[in-house]
Amino acid sequence: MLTRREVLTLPFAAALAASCRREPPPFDESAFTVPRRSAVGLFPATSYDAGLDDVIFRGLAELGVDVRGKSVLLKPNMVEYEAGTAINTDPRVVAGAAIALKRAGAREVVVGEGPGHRRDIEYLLTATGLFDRMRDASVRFVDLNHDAVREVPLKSWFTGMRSLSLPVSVLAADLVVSMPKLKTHHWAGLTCGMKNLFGCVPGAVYGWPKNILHIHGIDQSILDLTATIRPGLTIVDAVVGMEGDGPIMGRSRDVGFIGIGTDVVAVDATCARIIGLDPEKLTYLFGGGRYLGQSDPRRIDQRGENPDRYRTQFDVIDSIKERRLAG
Amino acid sequence: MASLLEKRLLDAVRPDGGWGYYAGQASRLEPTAWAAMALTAGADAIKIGVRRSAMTRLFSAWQQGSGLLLDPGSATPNVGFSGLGLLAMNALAVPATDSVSARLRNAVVAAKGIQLQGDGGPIKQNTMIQAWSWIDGTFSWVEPTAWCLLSLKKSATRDAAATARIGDGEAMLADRVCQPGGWNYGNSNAFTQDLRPYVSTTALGLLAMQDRRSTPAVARSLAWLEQHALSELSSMALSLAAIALTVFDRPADKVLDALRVNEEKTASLDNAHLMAMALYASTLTVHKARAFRM
Repeated sequence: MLTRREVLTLPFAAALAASCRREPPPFDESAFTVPRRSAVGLFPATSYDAGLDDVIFRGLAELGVDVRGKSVLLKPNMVEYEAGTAINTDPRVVAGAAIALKRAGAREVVVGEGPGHRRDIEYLLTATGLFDRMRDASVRFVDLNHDAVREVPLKSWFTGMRSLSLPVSVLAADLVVSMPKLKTHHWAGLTCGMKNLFGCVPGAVYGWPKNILHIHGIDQSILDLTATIRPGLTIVDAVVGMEGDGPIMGRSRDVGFIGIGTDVVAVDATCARIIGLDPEKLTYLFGGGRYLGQSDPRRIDQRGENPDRYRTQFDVIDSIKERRLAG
Repeated sequence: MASLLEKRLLDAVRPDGGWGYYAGQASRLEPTAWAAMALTAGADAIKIGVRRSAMTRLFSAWQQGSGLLLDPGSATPNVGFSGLGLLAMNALAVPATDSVSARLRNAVVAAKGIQLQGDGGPIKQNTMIQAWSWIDGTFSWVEPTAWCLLSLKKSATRDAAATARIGDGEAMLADRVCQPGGWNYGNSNAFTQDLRPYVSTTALGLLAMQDRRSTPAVARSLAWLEQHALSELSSMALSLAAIALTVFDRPADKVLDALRVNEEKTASLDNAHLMAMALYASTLTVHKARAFRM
């Protein structure tokens, strides 16, 4: 029987660091290459009414993202609805991305989400306004909690699991775009492009929340999901973020940009530093930087605005304070 | 609305007699159980008989060695949906002596969420109570507990083991009641913050605790639902709210009106599970929620 403390401390950095260093590592080394350099773009957006399709379209062009002829699945972060809060990826960012990607030549764009907390997706779609935004943008919704599933081998196995059932719509898409809201997270420290992939795990198979992921370690699950799904593009809603007791009970915090990049680790590491968190102290980002993507700021090329323009310190709960950047 | 929903649901039936969540998808446990209940609520014996044989044939194929039902496509049986399946078998008058039904009931009795030693963590709940989890090896949650608890309470046979598990389920739901009444999905408080109840989980909790309606937690939860039933506009929330209110002999007219309006807007996302819920709720005046009523 596990104690509460054992469950909570499973994912801590030391354990993962040790497993990253051990021989052989819990992934096929030949299947992963950390890019020598990755680009992350930060594009100003101080309001959700500011022509976000144009912002994202320009960002895609500046980063040289080629989506011509591809089927694209946009994976926003839809968790819970509470008026006036910053829990979810704003539907206007999702619609803006859909329009921009179509304009950039994507063959098909769909929005897919499988909330891990609130299983009532119909309520979430209508209450947040995403239902109307998708209809206006002529974009279809795929319910990832109830999509047809296929069992696939995991590409890394920090969790100890060797396979998971995943939605066929995620597996079949040419390009999965992680579209997180920039938020603090009371267990993982930060929820951004990588953590957002929890919503790809089907609730109709594993239940709500995706408890199997918590049991096997949140950080470990984030790594195995990212390694397996490999989102090819990340678009972060950092127009307004969430600080404090995220991902649901925190406070809204104006930030003012849309973050875009093809390397989800580089995007998450950049966003972490902007809000005052140290990627090396965020277990999954520490691990991800060793095999999934680039987390070294000296090897991340910044496009658009300089990160210093947005640098701030998000409030965090006490247990996360030790993961802040020094100084 | 009911006739249109019935037609759409019948159009969506798979060749094997079950339903997938969405058009063209293979049959799954949850939509099949709900569709079977919705299409037979208030129906004649012949219709029920046809639906019963199709459903039991599928459930027999899906039943694992443990007795739980394996949702096709999944690698692990879903305990909560197995409880729902047992409830559907009861609703379609499958005899308790039927081998699939009997093995399923025994498996629901045997299934248990894992236990955690409480050591002052940030989640305030009694983690020693073992009710029902979604899948084996995970924690107990309100929804699977409510389905399994209700299905056992509705079962014709009740031995000592089932009685004990009913006690576990009731203890878990009593422990997780939110401060104003009603239920969240799991906890009522985390990181010192009270979590809020939801309509669908509150309705499910009430259905599972309908024989304990004089207890203060249940009375408070019913009052919360009566006040907030229209706060979440969706087929799932409105249908479950209407069913629970009907079972507690409270008026559900306004909720059903809202369900009609919502259906015109979203068409239940063309999800057979949601359509079946809406169909069952929209015919409540005929069948009085017999499948859920103790």
